[in-house]
Amino acid sequence: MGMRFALISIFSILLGPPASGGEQPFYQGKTIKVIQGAGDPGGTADLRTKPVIQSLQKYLPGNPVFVFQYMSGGGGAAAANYLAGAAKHDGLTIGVITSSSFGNAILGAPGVRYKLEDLVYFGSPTSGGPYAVVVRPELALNTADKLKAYKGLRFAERSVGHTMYIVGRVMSFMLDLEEPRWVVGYSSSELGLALERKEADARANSLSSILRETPGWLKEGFTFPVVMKNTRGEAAEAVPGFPQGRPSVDKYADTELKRAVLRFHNAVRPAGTVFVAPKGIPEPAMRELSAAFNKIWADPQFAKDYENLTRDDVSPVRGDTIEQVLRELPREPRVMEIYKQVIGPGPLPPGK
Amino acid sequence: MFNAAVDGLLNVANFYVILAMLAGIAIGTFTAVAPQGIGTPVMYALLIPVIVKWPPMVAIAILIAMDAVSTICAAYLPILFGIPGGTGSVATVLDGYPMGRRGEARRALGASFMAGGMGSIIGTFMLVLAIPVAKPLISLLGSPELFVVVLWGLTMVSMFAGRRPIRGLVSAIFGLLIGTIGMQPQTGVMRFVFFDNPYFMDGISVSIVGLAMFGIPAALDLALSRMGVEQAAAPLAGRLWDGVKDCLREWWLVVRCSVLGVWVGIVPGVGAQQIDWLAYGHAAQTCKGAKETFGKGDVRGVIAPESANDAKDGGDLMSVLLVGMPQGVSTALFIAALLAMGIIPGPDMVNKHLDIIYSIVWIMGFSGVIGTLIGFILCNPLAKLALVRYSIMVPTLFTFVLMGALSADRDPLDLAAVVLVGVLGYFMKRLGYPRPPLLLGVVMSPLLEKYLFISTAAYGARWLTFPSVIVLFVITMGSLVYTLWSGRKKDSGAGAVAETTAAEKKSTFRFEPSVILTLFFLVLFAAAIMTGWEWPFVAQLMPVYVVGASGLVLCLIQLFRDLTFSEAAQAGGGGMEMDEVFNSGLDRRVEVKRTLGFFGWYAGAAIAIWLFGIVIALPVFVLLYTLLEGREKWWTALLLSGSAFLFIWGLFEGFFKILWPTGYLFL
Repeated sequence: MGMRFALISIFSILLGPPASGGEQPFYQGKTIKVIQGAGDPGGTADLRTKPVIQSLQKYLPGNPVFVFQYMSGGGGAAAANYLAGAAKHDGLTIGVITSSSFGNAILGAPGVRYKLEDLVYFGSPTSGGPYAVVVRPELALNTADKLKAYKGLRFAERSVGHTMYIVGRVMSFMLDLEEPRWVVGYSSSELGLALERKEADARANSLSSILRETPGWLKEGFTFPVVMKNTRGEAAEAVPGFPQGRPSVDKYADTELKRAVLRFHNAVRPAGTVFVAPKGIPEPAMRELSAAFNKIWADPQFAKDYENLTRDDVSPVRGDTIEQVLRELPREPRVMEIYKQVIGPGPLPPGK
Repeated sequence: MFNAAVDGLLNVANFYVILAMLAGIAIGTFTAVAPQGIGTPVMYALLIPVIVKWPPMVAIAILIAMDAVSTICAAYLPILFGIPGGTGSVATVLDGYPMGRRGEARRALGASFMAGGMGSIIGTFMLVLAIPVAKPLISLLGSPELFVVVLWGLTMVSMFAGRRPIRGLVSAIFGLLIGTIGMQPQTGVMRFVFFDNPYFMDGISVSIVGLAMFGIPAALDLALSRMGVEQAAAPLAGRLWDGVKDCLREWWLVVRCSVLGVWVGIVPGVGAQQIDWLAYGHAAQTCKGAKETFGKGDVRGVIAPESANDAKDGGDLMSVLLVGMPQGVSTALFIAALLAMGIIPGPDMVNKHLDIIYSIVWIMGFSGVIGTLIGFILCNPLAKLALVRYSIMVPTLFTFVLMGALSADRDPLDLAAVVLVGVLGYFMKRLGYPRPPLLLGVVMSPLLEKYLFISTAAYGARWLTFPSVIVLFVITMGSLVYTLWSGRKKDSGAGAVAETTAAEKKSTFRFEPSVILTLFFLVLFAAAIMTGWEWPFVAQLMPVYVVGASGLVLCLIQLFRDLTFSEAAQAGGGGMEMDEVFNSGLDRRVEVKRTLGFFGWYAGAAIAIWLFGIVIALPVFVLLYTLLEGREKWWTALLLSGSAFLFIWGLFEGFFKILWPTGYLFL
């Protein structure tokens, strides 16, 4: 009896404690490192990340602690390189990457060493957009036809490769604008002023940013002749308070080439600030993270808090949607080459 | 308007608002006193998610009070440690540190706090005056005019270069070259992005260049002399009250620099990185006798940047509240907070929330006064830091420099950059190349290029004929000619003696050690030209033609001057000596031994941080340096090392939950 008891005791110790009624959560008492690749401490992207992490604390079982590591170098390339390469696959490192990370990887931008397949995607609080072309009031370009007829429209933008630069270029390509020019190099705080000082005539911006940054423009005669839908297919109706009924640029995609470029553009920018992790993290971690993120994207309280804090539109994109978009991404070399020209610094290619 | 001002005051006269204001002042003072890495944006980002649920006035009070005092107390780092404090306190190093070294730390601190307080109040007052005219004021200057303003800032090289004009120009041009590293916004060309590494795409941080260029040579001075910062015969002779009196006596300078600060605050694009240099340059150009005293510890060189830097907050708020345009990260977050509270900043705010604008004005004013008083209270204990032994000060300086550098981009390559720039700073100081022009070049380079290309893209060549551009250009050239002419006039007397010496040595060829540094710059300029040869013209213009070609020519002239000894003869004359002249007064062998030892520790610390991470490596380094090099008692070393650990780990990782980059061995 004594011997049997001793053997049972030894086996019990070797095999670990008996399983309890419920399995212990993967993240019980653990610390998760969040690699912030979308901006610096205190930046706007950081402000957008914080409500998501607060909700993650609520929905991820095990009450883990979150700590931030900032890696914004190369417009987010440093963070994506790290997450897809050097980061441990232990489920304790997740990250935030920018929307441009997708296009940069597919088009082979400088500094990119990561592959999109080496990351898993948990989704984003915003699909990015919808966008509009804003024109200063003196030009009275209040319809897409007037915009198309205007020669030498000067767009103010931050830099070649910036999201709004790309959006403005794609919209100009779709509309076949006559000899548009880009006045590039402004800081974000100077862009609005560039139009008011008449240094530039127009700029592309997201509708929610227009409402947030320059609400007075709606009353001051600035025109919004054309919009671009977000990746969920929503236009101005998704942004209450913005003038409705503006035509979307996809109506002007009148050639197969334009349609292919627009499809490619939408595919490489599936969402705004995207939450990711290195591929190959433990299955329980993957399961718990996916479930928690999906609960966040469906939580109306999160949407309210996020919108209140950031004034951004909340249009969540789930991780599986992003994975699907990337799987079905068209990779025709000709379209990719034309798209590169469209978003590059040179003249726009012909749309036909 | 009077009623709104009274309503604004009544809003503030609420227990919770006052409590929030005091909390904001406390946090702002902490932000100012803490080294780089914890700035106002970090504190805003932490607070905003919490305070947006508070009553609007209480939330606004904490944010405004924090911002208003966060710059007033920041001058202790440049004055006592010789390293830049906040972004707008870099130029304070030039005169603040020499004052600290000669026993006038208290006077310098008193002047900086008083100037900051006066600047803050002037900024607040101008915010009130600007309420009806803010929008036209902001739109007054466009990119062409701003290009000329930046050009005016660059003409300050003529003063910083002092008696070595060619070396000053080479230094400034090298700074411009550093400023071109990264993605060129107009073409997307990656300039000098070595090994396709993302680190270089955003350029080299100005804070790294400032910290390493001034902080490392300052630490080396202490390590060589084996004394504390203050090396005066009578310790802490200067008084706080002397600094206050200096400010009151120089009230007109304070007003001028504050107006300049407010204006820079209003105009988006030119920011805190430039304001202190513009104010310093203005003071150096207009103050009587500045040529002889600036750069050597003239209190006016402290008053000018500090008053402008604090007055800038008033301009920032004008832009935010009355036009709805953010000036930077902090103001963008402030706008986000206002929006979250249902207050829409912009022209409508004057109609809908004039009382809130006045409440903000009152809070800014009260906070500025309280912040100045706190500065006065902190003055004596802070000034005593100047007497601390080198064995404690050197590791503390290392901690500030390495931590500040690593918090710039949070990339291990920050460490390589800070070591390389620190070594360059040492050689520049040692071999008589002025350092301020280099920093000025780094600060101004992106703006110069940006406004040139924006002006040309928007207007073609037509902008050159704008009356406003012509007027500003004439003023700029006038001030440059005046500076050069007044310098020559003063040099002519002292130069007479030197001319004889020059004539005697005219035909002599001699190899000066500075030739090596000139050759180093020459090679880098040549390499820049070769690297950029294939780039499109727009990307090429600045690094190849403006910087590379002119740098190459100037280096060749400098080589000739070095080898023919002509500059050494001229240097005997008068004129401004903007950078300290290196003279350790030590036996050469001792100096070489201590210098090599110093850089050994410095590079060792950087390598250890790269391998093990800053949380482990820096406290261990502090312990070892204090024990082995400083020969301090073990408990002093443990205390210092423990403090470093608490600061690096406890504050950042423990409290703020912001991780430092992981050590290479733990990746």
